[in-house]
This record gives sequence, C-alpha cells and structure tokens, in this order.
Amino acid sequence: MSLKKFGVAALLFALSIAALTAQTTLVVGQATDPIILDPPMYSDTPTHNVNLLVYDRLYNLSSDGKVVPGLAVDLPKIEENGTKYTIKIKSGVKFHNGQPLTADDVIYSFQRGAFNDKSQMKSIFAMMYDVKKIDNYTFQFRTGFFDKTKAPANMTDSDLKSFDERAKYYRPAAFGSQLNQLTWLGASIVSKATLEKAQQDGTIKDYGITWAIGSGPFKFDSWKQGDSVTLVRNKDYHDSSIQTNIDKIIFKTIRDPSALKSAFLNKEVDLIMNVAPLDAREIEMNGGKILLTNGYFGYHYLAFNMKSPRVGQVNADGTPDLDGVYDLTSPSTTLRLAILYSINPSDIVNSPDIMDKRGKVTLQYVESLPFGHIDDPKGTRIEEGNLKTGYYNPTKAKELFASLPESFKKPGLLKCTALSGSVYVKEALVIKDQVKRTLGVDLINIEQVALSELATRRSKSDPEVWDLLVNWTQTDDSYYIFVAFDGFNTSLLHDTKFYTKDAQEWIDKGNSLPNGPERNVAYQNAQKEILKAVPRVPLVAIMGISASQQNISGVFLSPSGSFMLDNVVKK
Amino acid sequence: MTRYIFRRLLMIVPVLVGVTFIVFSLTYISPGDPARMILPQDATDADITQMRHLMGLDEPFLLQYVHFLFGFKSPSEDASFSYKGLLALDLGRSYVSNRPVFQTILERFPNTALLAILALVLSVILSIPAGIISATHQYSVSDMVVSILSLLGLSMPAFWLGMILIWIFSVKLRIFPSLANPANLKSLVLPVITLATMNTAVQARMTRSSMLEVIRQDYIRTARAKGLDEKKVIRKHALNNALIPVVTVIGLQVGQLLVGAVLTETVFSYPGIGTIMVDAIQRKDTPQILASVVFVAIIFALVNLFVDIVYAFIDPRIKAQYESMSKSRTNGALVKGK
Repeated sequence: MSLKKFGVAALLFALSIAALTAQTTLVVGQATDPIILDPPMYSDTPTHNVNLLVYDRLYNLSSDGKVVPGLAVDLPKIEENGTKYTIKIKSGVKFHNGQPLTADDVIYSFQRGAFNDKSQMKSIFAMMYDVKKIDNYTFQFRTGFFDKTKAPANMTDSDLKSFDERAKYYRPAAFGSQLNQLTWLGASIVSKATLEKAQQDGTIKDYGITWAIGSGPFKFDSWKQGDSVTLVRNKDYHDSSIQTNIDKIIFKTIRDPSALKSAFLNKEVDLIMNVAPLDAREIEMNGGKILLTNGYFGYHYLAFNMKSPRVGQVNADGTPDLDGVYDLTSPSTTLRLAILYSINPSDIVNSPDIMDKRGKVTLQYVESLPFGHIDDPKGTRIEEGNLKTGYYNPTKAKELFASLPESFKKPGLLKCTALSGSVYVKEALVIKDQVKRTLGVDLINIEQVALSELATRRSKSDPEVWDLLVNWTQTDDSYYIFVAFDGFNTSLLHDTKFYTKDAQEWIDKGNSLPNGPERNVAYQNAQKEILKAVPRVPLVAIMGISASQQNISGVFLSPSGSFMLDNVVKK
Repeated sequence: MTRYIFRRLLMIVPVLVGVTFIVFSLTYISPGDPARMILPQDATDADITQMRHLMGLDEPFLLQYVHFLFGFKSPSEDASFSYKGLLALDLGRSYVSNRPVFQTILERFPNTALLAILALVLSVILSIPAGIISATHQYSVSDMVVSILSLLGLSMPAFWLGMILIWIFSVKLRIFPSLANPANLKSLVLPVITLATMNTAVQARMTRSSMLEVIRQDYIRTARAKGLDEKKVIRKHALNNALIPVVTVIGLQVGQLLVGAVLTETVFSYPGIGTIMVDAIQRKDTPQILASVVFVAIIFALVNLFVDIVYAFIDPRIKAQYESMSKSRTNGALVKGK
C-alpha cells in the first residue's frame, strides 16, 4: 500500500470513529433553573421538564389528556365503591444505579411524598391509607378521610405520619382524582435502597442537587447551578419502544425572554418554552416551528376577594359570609356584575403586546379538559356572553352601576393586585381602562407586587389589602375545581375564598366519583353554581406556546405545557 | 503604614455588623412569607404554622437575629433546617433550592469575577489613553470624539446595549454567541463590552478632567520651561498625579462590577452572583438574600480597603502624613521616656 493510500485509509478510519463517537445533543432553553430534582419536593415547569425524563411514574398523561400505564402493567383494579386500588407494576425495571424497581420502592416513594416535611405533593397522597405490598410487583391501597370519631381527642390528620397510622383512624371514601394524580410528577418512583443508604451516610441532604437516581429514559449527569442541567441517555431503559437519537440533553437556563428568543434565533438552543405570543410570530417568520398544547390548558382571570365588603360577600358586621347562601342582590354583588359586564376580553386577546390572538375569550373556568367544562350552557350565565366579546354589555353594566349607593362609586375604591412586571399588569391596565370608560368612574387602582407577596396576598385574601387580583391558573382536571373553588380549602389557588353550599355539594360529589360521565356532570353543576355568583371574571383561555428548530421532531407538549421528549429526534 | 492598614481593617467590623443588622431588619419587615413559598399551594394554615415553627420564623425579631449570627437548631428531624450562623459562615440551605447558600455564592463568584476583571482591564486600556489624548488635545477633533463617545457610553443602559449587541453580532451577523459561558472566551466578548462601556466612559471623563487640572499646575509649566520633552512631561510628571483620583474611581467601580452585573448577567444568561440575589429576593429566600448581601458587603469593604491602601502608596501626601504621624509618636515616646 502506498503512503498516499495509507493516509486516505487512516483518515477514513478516523472519520468513521469520530462519527461513531459523536454525540447528538439537544439543548432546551428554559427561563429558570429547576428547583430540585427530587420529584415530590417541587414542581414548577422547568423542574418538571427535567424530572419527567429522570423519573418514571406508574401512570402518564398522554398529550390528549388520557391516563396511560407507565411503570404499571395496566390501569388499576378499583373495588369497594372506588375506595380500594390494586396495581401491578412491570418486572425487570432497573434504576440508573442498577437497583431493581419493586413494589417496596413504590410504597417508599408514596410514603415520602405524603409525609416528608418538605414535600409539596402531599395532596396526591392526602386520602391514601393502608398501603400494602401484595408481592414484589403488586401493591394495594385504600382511599378515605380522617375520622374524628375513631381518633383520640385533640388528634388531627396532620398528627398521623404513616399510611399504617392512618389506617387506624381513616374511614373509606372514594377519591375520583386519585388515578389522575398518580400521573403527576410528585408520584414519581425513587429507589428505596438508595435513599435509605443516603439517609444513613448523610448524602441525602444533596439528593436532587448534586445527584439523583431515577428509572427514566435519561440519567442525571451534572448541574451547574444558574447555568445548566445535563442529562445523558439511559441505554438500559426498560421501554424499548422509545424512539430517540439524543445522547445528551442540556437544559440551559436563560432568564431574559428576549435573550431566550435571541438564542433560539441564533440556533444556540433547539427548544424553548413559554414563548410570548409576540415572539411566536417572529420565530415563525424566521423559520422556527411553534408547538402548542393540545387545547387550552389554563385561563387568565380577574378574581374578586369575597372577603371584601366592596366586591365580596360579608355579613352586616363585616365578617365573611360563610353560611353557604349568598345574597346575590347585595350592592357588592351588583358591583361585581357591573365590572363583569364592563370588561371586553377581546382587547386582551387581540393586543399584540399581550396575547397577539394566541388565545381565546373564555366564558367559564375550565376550558378544554373534560372535568367541569360546560358543554351545554343552556340556563346558565354563559348564555349571556359570546366568544367574541365575553360578557361585555355596557348598557347592563351602566344600569347596575347606577343602582348602587354612592359609597360604591368612589374613584380608587378598588385595590387591584398583579405580579410586578408580568403580563397580568398589562391585563389589569386594560380592565381598569375598560371599567373607567364603561362606568364613568376610575374605580381601580393597580398595585404591582413581587412573587412572594402575591402568594401571601392570594392565600390570606385580606380585604384591607386587595379587592381584585389578575392572575392565571391551570385548568388541570378536577383538581382545579376542588382546589380553586372548594370553600373549605384554604389553599393559595383558592384566592377568592368563595363558598356556597350548593357548589360545595357538587364538588364533594365530583371528588367522590370515579372518572366518568357522572363525575363530569357533578363538576359541571359545580361550575354552573359558581358562575351564578361570579367570584372570578374568566378572561382568556390560554395555550402553552413553545418553539422548536426545524430539524427537531417527535416533541410533544403535555396538557400542562411541559415538554415530552421521550421520542425526540434531532436530524 | 502598617498601623494605617490595621486601622482600616478594624473599621470594616462595625460596617459589617451594621450591614447585617440593616439587611436582616429589611428582610424581616419585607412582605411575603418564606414558609408559604416552601409549602405547596394547597397547604393549610396549620401546615404553614408548623413550617414557620420548624424554620424558627415564629421567634421574636431579636432572637431571630441572634440565630442568624450564632446559629439555629430546628426541632425538625430534617437537618437542613438547622444552621451554625453567620460567624461560622453557615446560614444553612436555601429555602428554595435546598443548596448551602454560601456554597452557591462561592460557586458562582469566580464567574462574576472573571467577567468583572475582563471588563475592568478593557475599560482601563481604553479609557486612560483616551482621557490623556482628550486632555492634551483639548478642543481638538479627537477631544470631541472622546467626549461624545463618553457621553454615549454613560447614557446607554447596560441591558439595552447588551440586547443591541446580541441583535447585531449574534442574531444578524452570527459572529458571537448570545449566551455567555465562562468556559468559552469568545462568548464573553459581548458581555465584557457591555459591562465595560459605562466604566470606560466614566474613567475617560475622569482621566480627562484630572489631567486637565494637573497640566495647568506650576510644576508642569516649570518642567516644560526646563526644556523637557512633552511626552516625558505628560508621562512622568503629569500622569502620576492625574491618576490618583482615577484610581479611586476605578476602585469603586471594581466593587460595582463584582456585584452589580445583574443586568448584563441576565441579558447574556451568564451564571454569576447578581442573578442569585434577584431570584432570592423574588422568592423571599431569606438565607440566600442574607448570605448574598453580606458577601457583597464584605467584597465591597475589602475592595475599598485595598483602594485606600493603594491610594496611600501612590499619593505621597497620605504617605507623608502617616509617616510624619508615626515619627511624631516615636519622638513623643522618646520625650516621655527621657
């Protein structure tokens, strides 16, 4: 062989080795770092995106909102009026460190999610008790409530720190959302043996920060805080149907929305999420692909503080009216309705600076997922509106406003809170202007607050601090209805503190029924009751908007807007 | 001189104590509840009360400040709620990320320091010659160009300049990446220019005005009258004295560069310490806020101390003042001992 031929052969060999060892890397841009890669401990969207790939769950939600088996072999066997679940899991599944995944790991994960001080996902397991291993790959649990009559005096539900303790003091009750909630990230399965060992040697403190062990299609590799998280492909993943050519995924933190867009346009990132509607237009013009959630996954609203004597429901002495029956002829209700009829949400939908037509006017609180969405609006408040201008009816608004006492017509009467620097401030400004133009009085003062203060205000609903609040929430199946409008629930989502007996009864009924038409009817009836009193003005139904480069395929968005990257391919 | 340095070091202590108290008080009274941020959205009031107890947030203000300085032992089995206090450089873990707060700062500080040092070097290289040329050629075209560019540099907000640079050099010309990364020097070009621009403008104007003042002094006139070469007059006699106030300004800017690059870091997605503070404040992450601000205060104080020491070395008046004080004390001691 001549020297020249040898050189060519050597070059070809080197090139083929390089091609074989070349890694395909996917770069995903997101606005913040994940918080912690320990599933029950936190669940914002950037954390969600990473954890979805590192961990597996018993069930998953498909892009069209259906529950499909993940680690479970099939859907659960549900018995005894929906209170007893038996679930069989796949055998042969291994964690990233080689430990086998068994029913013990599932029970340990649930126990940790339910009772760990820092768990943010306690609600998934709130009704679970008597969790038992049947064999290595089968387990069983029951759902129910804490029964005071069984418990010693002064004992509360939060005093119980294990499923076995709960078994002594719980009584059976169906929880229709349980199966849906097992698809949530907080119900991901962690390795019992690994975490127990970490607990002993003290490395548990850094779990989810410097190390993480799941059983998902990608393994945790490294995390440069404030910069990026890197995952590498799990070549031993149990599900061989996964079709991806990606070896490494880098989740790059890019805080500034314009920087995120520039990085995408400069092709430094392959995928970005939470794209502003206006940027979506520019991305499309520059050859990027826009990805949308399958349907509307949330909505923006104007909330009324129901503890406020100006727009809420209070007794003569100023205390919140919690007797379960609202006086819908009171001046505060009249003012709520006057504001409802003054608002034309199409200005928000069409504004290039806000929605740029990538959303639609909505008349109800649950837009496209099955639970609670009212398909037949006959006889409900929805008949008063239309999908072009919402409930906008200036004549009616003026009539109602004219009937109010003078004390309800003072300029600056209502304090409106919105997250500082957010799109909700812009929406609040539109609302303030529309109310002023329709009613002839500048009723609303807007106050911008930081995230932590917004959380406090939503939770406390102090009528001295706010009357109105512009925000958004996800319409995530039944969870949305019972948390956002369950009058006895003090959660953050329940910022209005709305409570009527009729709505509560329907919510309770919906919560107790398994998935199915009867349950949908219960939640729809709950929403119809809620719409009578209008504790919130529904403004705009929103879609999750993400963007992908043209050479990326196989990416889907979950109903909650997270990336589903199991089958992503980069050409 | 040693005494001077020692005295300046001692003066840092009350400054830092004051800073910790003020920062702790402001964090304490600022709205928002950390327990509520930690717990899930559907947490009950009982959960929140329990969490506040575990975090020591239900203690009186002064006791919480004492915990902050000397440590806190949480009743929770979860050891991450306990910490040893500021004096042990342990303020525990972030309420949000669960990472040790000082570790987070120390991981990110080298990135910020790299950016700051590069920006400082660039600004000094550009500004001092520009200021000298501008002063020595007063009212010439070059003076006008320097003055106009300085004014522009002062007027352009960093975030705006950064975005414009990204748009031109990343999105349109595709010469530089838009995302900065300490491991990739090419990616640091645009953030360094962004960060250096305002400093360059300030230093150039300062050098110009200081130089103008010095070159009108009698000793410069004397040097010229003695027939010294103009370059030598400027370099040897004028520049040394003109740079004294410029060094002070540069020193202050070092502190600002190290802690105030938030906007540049944000626009270029650069993992520095500025963004830690912004995130912590947004989320009411008290340990991270306190650790970051105390760290920044220490850096500021040390940089100012360093500048003061350098100042004493390059300004003969200060040096002479301390030397004469030292001599008079020695003489006094001799007199007393006589």
